[in-house]
Amino acid sequence: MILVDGITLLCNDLQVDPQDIVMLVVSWHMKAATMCEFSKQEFIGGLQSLGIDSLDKFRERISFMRAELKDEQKFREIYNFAFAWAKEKGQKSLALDTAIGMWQLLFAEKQWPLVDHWCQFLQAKHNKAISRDTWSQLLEFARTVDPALSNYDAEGAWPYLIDEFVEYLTENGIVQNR
Amino acid sequence: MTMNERKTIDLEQGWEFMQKGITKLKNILEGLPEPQFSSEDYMMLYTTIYNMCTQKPPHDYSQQLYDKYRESFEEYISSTVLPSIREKHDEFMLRELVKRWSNHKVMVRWLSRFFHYLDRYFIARRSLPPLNEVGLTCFRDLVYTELNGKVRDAVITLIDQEREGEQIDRALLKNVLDIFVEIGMGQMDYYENDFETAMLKDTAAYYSRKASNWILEDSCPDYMLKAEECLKREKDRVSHYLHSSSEPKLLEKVQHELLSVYANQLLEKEHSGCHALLRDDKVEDLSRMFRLFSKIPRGLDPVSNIFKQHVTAEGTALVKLAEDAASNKKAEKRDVVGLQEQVFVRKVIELHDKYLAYVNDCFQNHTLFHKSLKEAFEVFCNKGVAGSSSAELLATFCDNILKKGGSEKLSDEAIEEMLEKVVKLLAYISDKDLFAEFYRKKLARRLLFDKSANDDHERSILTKLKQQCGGQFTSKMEGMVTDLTLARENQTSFEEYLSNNPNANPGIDLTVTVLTTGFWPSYKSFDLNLPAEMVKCVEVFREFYQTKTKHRKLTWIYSLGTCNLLGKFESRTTELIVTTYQASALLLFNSSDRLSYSEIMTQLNLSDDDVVRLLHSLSCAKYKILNKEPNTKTISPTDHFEFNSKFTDKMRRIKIPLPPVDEKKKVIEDVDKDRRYAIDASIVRIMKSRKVLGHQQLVLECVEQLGRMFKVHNTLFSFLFFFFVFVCESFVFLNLTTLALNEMLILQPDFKAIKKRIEDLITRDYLERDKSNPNMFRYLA
Repeated sequence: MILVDGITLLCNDLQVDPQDIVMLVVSWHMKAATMCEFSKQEFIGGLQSLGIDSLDKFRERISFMRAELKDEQKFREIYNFAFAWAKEKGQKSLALDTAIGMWQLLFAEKQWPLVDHWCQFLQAKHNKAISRDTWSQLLEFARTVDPALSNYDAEGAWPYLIDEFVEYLTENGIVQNR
Repeated sequence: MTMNERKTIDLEQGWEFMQKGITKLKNILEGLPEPQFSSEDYMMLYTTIYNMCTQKPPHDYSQQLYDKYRESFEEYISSTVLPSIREKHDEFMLRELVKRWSNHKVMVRWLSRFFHYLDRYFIARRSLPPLNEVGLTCFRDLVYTELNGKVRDAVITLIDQEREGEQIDRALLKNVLDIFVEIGMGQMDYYENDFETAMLKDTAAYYSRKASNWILEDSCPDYMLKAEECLKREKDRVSHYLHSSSEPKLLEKVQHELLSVYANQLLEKEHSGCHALLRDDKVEDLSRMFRLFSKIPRGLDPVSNIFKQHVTAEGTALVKLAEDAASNKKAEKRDVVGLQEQVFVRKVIELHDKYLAYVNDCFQNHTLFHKSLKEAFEVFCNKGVAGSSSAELLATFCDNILKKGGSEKLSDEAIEEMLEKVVKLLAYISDKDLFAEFYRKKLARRLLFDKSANDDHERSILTKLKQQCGGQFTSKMEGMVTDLTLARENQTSFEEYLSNNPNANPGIDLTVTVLTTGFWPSYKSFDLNLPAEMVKCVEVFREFYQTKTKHRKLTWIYSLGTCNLLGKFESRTTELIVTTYQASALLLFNSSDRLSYSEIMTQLNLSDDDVVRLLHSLSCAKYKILNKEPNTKTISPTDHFEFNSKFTDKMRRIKIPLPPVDEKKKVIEDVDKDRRYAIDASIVRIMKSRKVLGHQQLVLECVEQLGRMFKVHNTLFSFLFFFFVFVCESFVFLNLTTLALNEMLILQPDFKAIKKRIEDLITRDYLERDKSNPNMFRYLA
């Protein structure tokens, strides 16, 4: 198993910050089960699928992997992958702090103007773990609903938390009454 | 005279003879001195025609006679009739017309009799109009066609005069209008096209003018009075001289101009409109308003809306009043439903009575208004007051009526009426299941502690609830009432058993009430360490119970027992009525002089909450049975307690109350939990059968399913509980365990609640979202 120390070394060699989002992409390629851990299978398997057999090649592939985040389809896969990867082993939901950290990271890549409000809202009103459904639906929400919420369908199947978020935005005047 | 001998009548000749007859007739009609036709005259005229028609050609003059018949009319009309009418105007013209028409009809009748033979064969053979028709057509084509416009105008002018209050000759108008009808010879076309249309138009214009004035000057009630009067008069007009077929059209026009056009302005008049009338209880005006507006299309919609708004506002004001009163209460009394809330419920009932009467009387029981009343009440009846939901308020209200020493002192009839009304109010409350729980808890208290004032009333309200909400709503409560009767029988057999087995007697008088778990509310059961004497009692009863049945389990709930203890104080022995918990604590002092808080807690095996409460009641309340060190007002875990031998009271027997724990939160929690289970079950049931379903549809089906009452789980097992009473060093305990049978009355389930449960089921892997359409769900087997 490669653990935290090993990963730090790897990042040094790659000249990449361990907090860099590209490490998430790497983990995705490796189908890593948990963050900050790579099993031998995951590591070797990931490298093979990326066609990497040397450190130089690895460094080259970094920019490729960064570009992958721009692809809509791949971003969605990476985003959804992040949930299982970031949560504690054996837990069904993702701890709020971790979730917020991940969201900050992910939505820095794919701009979403409401991300800060979302995080504030969660800390003020929710204070509990995030379910998988909420996690994945949030991406859809960010993708399809415009920041002024003009095309938000209150009768839709959005998770309860997202409905609450919309209410929060309207109540606090962040978004005009629809 | 035979046919062969009959002399041929020449046309000229024959007509000359006929002409005499016609002239005679005209004279009679003109009023000139002229003797009436004798039978012979008539016969001669008739026969002349007959002969002239039956002669052999070329002397059969049927066609010529037919034409001459018509020409006679034409001539007479042109020369005499028309000029006489033309030279007159207005009412005089109308009179002349009526006279001339009447005369004309007579003339037609007579002449057609003279010429009758033509009617028999000639007209049929040639398919020509009959004589009667010919005669009338002449009048129509010559007189009517020229004059009907003038006539119409004259009539309408008279009508308008009558409307302004003048007296007119109604009989004349009736006669004139009869002409319009009769001239149609069976069809109403002439009447409708040549008179009615214009009359209706004029009527509309007339009332439009009037209304535009009245609406500015008059208050709503005054306007309505005028409108009603106008409608009455127009109806009257029809019955006197217009044709009956005009009535609906006429009234419709008047209603349109007076009411439809100005409906909103009228209703919304600032100080006299619908709102104001409701506010000032103007029942008569409102009745009139209903009568008038019910006639125009959709006229009642705005009225019923204003009614609904008004009732809602009144109700909401009551809520606010109660809230304000409650917020002035002292903080520690906040959670208890107090007097203000009782008053609130009573006022709501009064409000309902008042406006139901309105619906029945002013609004003639119309469904639209029943609906408005219902919707209004649903709005404010679901607002709680001072932290208590309306369901709880109603339940407490019932409790006060039904219990002994309740705050409502009423006669039997008044109670029945009141209960009836309360049940009606329940229809408006959406959390009916919450009401059921609260009611059940309070019913349990009344039954177990013998606080019910009247058995009949208890049963009566259950019957009413059953009628309103169905059998499942009341089945548990009915079970509770029945249980008590059975329990008494059971106690009797227990006493028999004891007398038959004197060895078994525990030496303490013991009364047990055995109840069926499923019916009663859930009570928490703690493992109280009973004093030895009581333990024996429990065992004895258990043995007895084994003889009756082996298939049931007994669970004891000590928290509801009562005990009578004899306290041997220095001054005198006093009987103390206490709860089992308190008794257990007190009996500890039989073997120890002084005990600490922790010792008591350990020995009794109760929670901190319970220990604090019971020690407080024994040492810091009205009766100090125990001395506390230090002598503060509250219990703390470092306190020590001693039996207070110096205690004295002038009463021989005192009751030491133990204040009950607040049930409210628990009730609400229980109901919420039940609801969650029900929603989950419903969603799973639906998804299992549909496999894939869209979000909206799932929610809708769920709402539909939950709207009906249904059982969620079945009886898993039944428990019985027992209730004992002893006298003299006695104690009572009550034991009960609930059953998982839950009945739910979710009549207006919450969309949000359903959504939350769907998400929970996704997390628990019962459902998943469809990959391509997040609005669809799939069932995961």
